[in-house]
Amino acid sequence: MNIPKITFIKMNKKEYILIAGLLILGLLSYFFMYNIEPGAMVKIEVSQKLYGTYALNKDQEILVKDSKGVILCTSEIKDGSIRVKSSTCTDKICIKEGEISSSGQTIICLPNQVVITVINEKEQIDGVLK
Amino acid sequence: MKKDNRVVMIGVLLSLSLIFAYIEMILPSFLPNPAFKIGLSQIPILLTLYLLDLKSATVVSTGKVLMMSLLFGYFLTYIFFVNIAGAIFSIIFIGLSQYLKFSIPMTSLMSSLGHNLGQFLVIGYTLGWNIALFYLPVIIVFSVLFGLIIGFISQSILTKIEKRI
Repeated sequence: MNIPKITFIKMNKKEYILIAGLLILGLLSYFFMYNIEPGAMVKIEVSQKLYGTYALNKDQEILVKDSKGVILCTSEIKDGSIRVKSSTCTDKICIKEGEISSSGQTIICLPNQVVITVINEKEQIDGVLK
Repeated sequence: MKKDNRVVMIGVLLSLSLIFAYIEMILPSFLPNPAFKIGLSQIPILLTLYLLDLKSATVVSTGKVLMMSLLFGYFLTYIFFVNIAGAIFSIIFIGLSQYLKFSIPMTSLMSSLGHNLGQFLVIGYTLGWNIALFYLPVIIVFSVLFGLIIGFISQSILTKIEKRI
């Protein structure tokens, strides 16, 4: 079998600059975007619609259902952190993501379009005002 | 290259890509989010690009998403569209870097960046932009890092293949 001659292009200055630029962009936005502090509330959204907000200091189990009443997942609040206990999705990545407790952290279950976000109480008030 | 050979090569590389995707799925993730993957299945796609052409790489890339969705039962669901958007954007970015005459590691980086950008756009559009934006810094850094690693692996494989001929 004849394979076309592969032309190996060496990495040049242009590429190094592009890589460095991307890394700097990533790291800068990393420092600007994350201010980690313990959150107070947890917000659950199902396909962009608010499913409910729950306090993190009260231990409870939340059954998340979609608009037709089909069970999507069970999440558990325990000792100020939330995790997904069981889910009906195919890849179970939401269960592997483990516990979250700081504000801004999310658990996303892509197949079921469930988003669990930890928020501050301030953000909660903003949400109500909107 | 004869047309039959091309079809055989696409078949072999597509199945190799499927095997890598499966291995990646069952391996425990060591990255901060279990949804992040190293992108081992990009190696056969890059090999297709350099051993055959961009058209065959498109077939392998979209074929991989299609076959994986049929094998694991998420064909035409939400996650399938997220994956296919990733594949299409990755091919667009590969085409762009071919046009700009980038090296192999850089092409791999662009491909992983495009893959993540496609998924980012679909997730942002469907689940809300602030959720997608939260992951953007991590996505950029990891796609640069693992794109380069996968690129160097593919480059060393390609040099070995070329020496054998």
